[in-house]
Amino acid sequence: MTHLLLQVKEVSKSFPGTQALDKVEFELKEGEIHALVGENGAGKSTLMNIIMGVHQKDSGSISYEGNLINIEDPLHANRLGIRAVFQELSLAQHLSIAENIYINNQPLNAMGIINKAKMHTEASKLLELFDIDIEPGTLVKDISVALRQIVEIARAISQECKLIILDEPTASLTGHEIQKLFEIMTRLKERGISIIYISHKLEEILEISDRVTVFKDGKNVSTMETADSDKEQIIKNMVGRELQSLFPERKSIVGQTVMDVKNLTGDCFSDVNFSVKAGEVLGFAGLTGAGRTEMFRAIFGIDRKLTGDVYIDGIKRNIKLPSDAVRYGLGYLPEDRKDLGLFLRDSLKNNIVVSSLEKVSGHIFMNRKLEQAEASQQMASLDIKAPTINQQISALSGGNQQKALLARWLLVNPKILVVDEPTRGVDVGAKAEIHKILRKLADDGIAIIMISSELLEVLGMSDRIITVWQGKITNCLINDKIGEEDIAKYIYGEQGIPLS
Amino acid sequence: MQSEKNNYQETNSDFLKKTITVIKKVFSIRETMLFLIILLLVFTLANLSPHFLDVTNFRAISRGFAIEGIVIIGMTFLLVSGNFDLSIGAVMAFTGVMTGYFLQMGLPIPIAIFGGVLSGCLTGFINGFVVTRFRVNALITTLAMMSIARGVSLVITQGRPIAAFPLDFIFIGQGEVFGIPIPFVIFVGFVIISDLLLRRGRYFRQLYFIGSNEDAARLSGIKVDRIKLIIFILMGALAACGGVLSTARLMSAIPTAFVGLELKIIAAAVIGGASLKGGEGTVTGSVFGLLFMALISNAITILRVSPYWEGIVVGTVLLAAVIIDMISRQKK
Repeated sequence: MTHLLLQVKEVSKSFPGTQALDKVEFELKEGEIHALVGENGAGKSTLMNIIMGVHQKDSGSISYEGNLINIEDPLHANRLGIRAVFQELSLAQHLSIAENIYINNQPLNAMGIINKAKMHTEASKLLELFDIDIEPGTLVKDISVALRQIVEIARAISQECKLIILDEPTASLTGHEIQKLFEIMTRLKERGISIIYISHKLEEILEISDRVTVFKDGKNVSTMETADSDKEQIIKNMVGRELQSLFPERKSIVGQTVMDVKNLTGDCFSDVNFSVKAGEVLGFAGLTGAGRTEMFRAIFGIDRKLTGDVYIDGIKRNIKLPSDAVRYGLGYLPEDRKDLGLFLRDSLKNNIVVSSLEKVSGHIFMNRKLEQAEASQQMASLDIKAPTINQQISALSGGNQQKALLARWLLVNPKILVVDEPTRGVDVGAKAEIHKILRKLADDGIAIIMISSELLEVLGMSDRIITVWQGKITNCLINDKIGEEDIAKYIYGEQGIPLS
Repeated sequence: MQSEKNNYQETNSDFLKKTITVIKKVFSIRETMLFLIILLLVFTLANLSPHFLDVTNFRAISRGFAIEGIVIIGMTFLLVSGNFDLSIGAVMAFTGVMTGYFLQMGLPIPIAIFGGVLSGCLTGFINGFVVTRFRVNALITTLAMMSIARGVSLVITQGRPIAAFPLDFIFIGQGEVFGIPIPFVIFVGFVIISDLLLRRGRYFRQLYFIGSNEDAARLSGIKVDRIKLIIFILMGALAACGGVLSTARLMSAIPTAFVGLELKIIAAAVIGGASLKGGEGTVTGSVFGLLFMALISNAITILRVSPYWEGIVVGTVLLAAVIIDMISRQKK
């Protein structure tokens, strides 16, 4: 197993204004899981796009199975047996799970017509690998983000392949699903398939990979045997600095109750009761699909609630639309940044001021100076990195986009800010900054409700932790001398489904 | 725009730079390009035909153009917010017929006009209500309304035009102030106000957000459904203005008028920079697009080219415009 499948030598690539890759070296053995880490913008995605034939390299060479090749387009890469599962989900919403898995190689019968029964049984078999028992005829638009991610992976492994690129595959998966994915990865590896594994989650990398390569600013900093490295070493290489403490210190100067939720029941959750106080970070821990997001969508007026009341500052409020919620002092940072948060074709400035148009305008007309000033001030105070305030937001990194969304709500100055998976898909540096911002907001007296699937994040950030299981609140823990296992017990239900 | 620029120059140079980029963005390439092409077209036509620069020719162009120009304002609002309205041609005929009907009943002119505009608001309200409440898409909703509005006009008139109106009413469509046709004056007024509102207005700014990402707009606290309802009503009202003016101009309310106008209006707005995907477009751009199309059909008339060619030329121009737009976007 020492044959090299892929060898990248001195590959460079520049885009207008940036040197995305600068003489990068990377190699992949047959049957190897090679992790690739680095902050956003380090060049990981660019290299993957070159390997997939989406972009062309400027210089350098790539050999594949011992031959020098030039991968012309994604179709070419596909023919070579290279598959990729990218962060941006690329499924057809109105087709079924099975149709999506076999989108370009449906099993046919003798007449050349799609053999639906066979397609469904094969799809079921693939999904069983993940311990998922779902009717393969279910439409993709009706399944959760996590399940969609699994469908993507299933599609990649449904055909013969030699190299699989997994780009942040676990971003929306829960602990159990991740373990299943790792089992499958190990099985693929035993079959001699090589995997390039891109992730921000270092624990996972240490667990699953054989080697780990660190990218920084378009260069490869180091390649190590995973067994010889540890988290601190990798972080040090990634950011070029020691990360002393991952989470900001909790001050816990908690004020009065600002929101009380009583007997809230909706389609995916029932009998939800909790309250949140000014100045605290209240963590909501639970698995994807446990109903955490749905609870807050109902509170915020996005989905209809069936019964229950929301009190803000002691006054019962009837929130029918998100605009009502904003008026009563609620802010909501959605889980799905691209679809529900950002105006991708619009500028950074417009993305920041959208919820505060009244604040930055006169009676009829916008006040451009005020608009610029307010947005610039937010940009500076949150340290959003962009050439100008008028930069189109789609060009910014995930971390900066997320900070822009935070800036949007800070300009509104809500009493309660709900952040749903605030650090999903952002790099380690930006993650720490976002944590710091959230903590500072709490210190300034805002009640922060943080929904997160990362137990470490919940533990590191929260003053109190509410655990959710199957649409019900199972416990409310004071975050003092508790560990991941204590939370895990409650988010997997009282039956205690084992963690791994 | 000029005086405002001077204001900024008095502040620091950093702001000037920002202002310039904003102005650059405001006068996006599409609008300036269109303006230059229009100038070129005018220049060429003036050289090719001695009749082109005739005052009578201009008056002839301006009346029809003004009516369509009023209607394209509403369509621009809708396109920016990611919607459109296919019923406007039928609604124009319908509102003209309603106004004519009210006049024949002997109602005073202002009341009759008000009634016509109100019937336009009603069709707009129904469109907007169905789209926002039942989440039926705009294509199907307004297609149905197109059919209904046309049908109602035909039922009311039994297919015959309503004519014989008071002179004071006809004056609105045919009269002039200082030598300028009244519809044109109304058009210019409407365009200036609506362009300012869409560019700078707080309320209309929200249309761009809705068109750019409706879900995100809703979650940001924008009252998406209410705003959509209002602009559908506004569209109906503007179509009614066009219908009333045209009835006055032609001295008859024709139930079969303006068939297919909605597509011409959408095409002109797209040439002017609006997008069916929403989030883009300006009133000035749309008016330029319309002007461009009006000049082309005028050129075909005065150069004595067979009028059958008009559709081919307009379609080709539309395709060229969107293709050039896509290419320039990919380069970005």
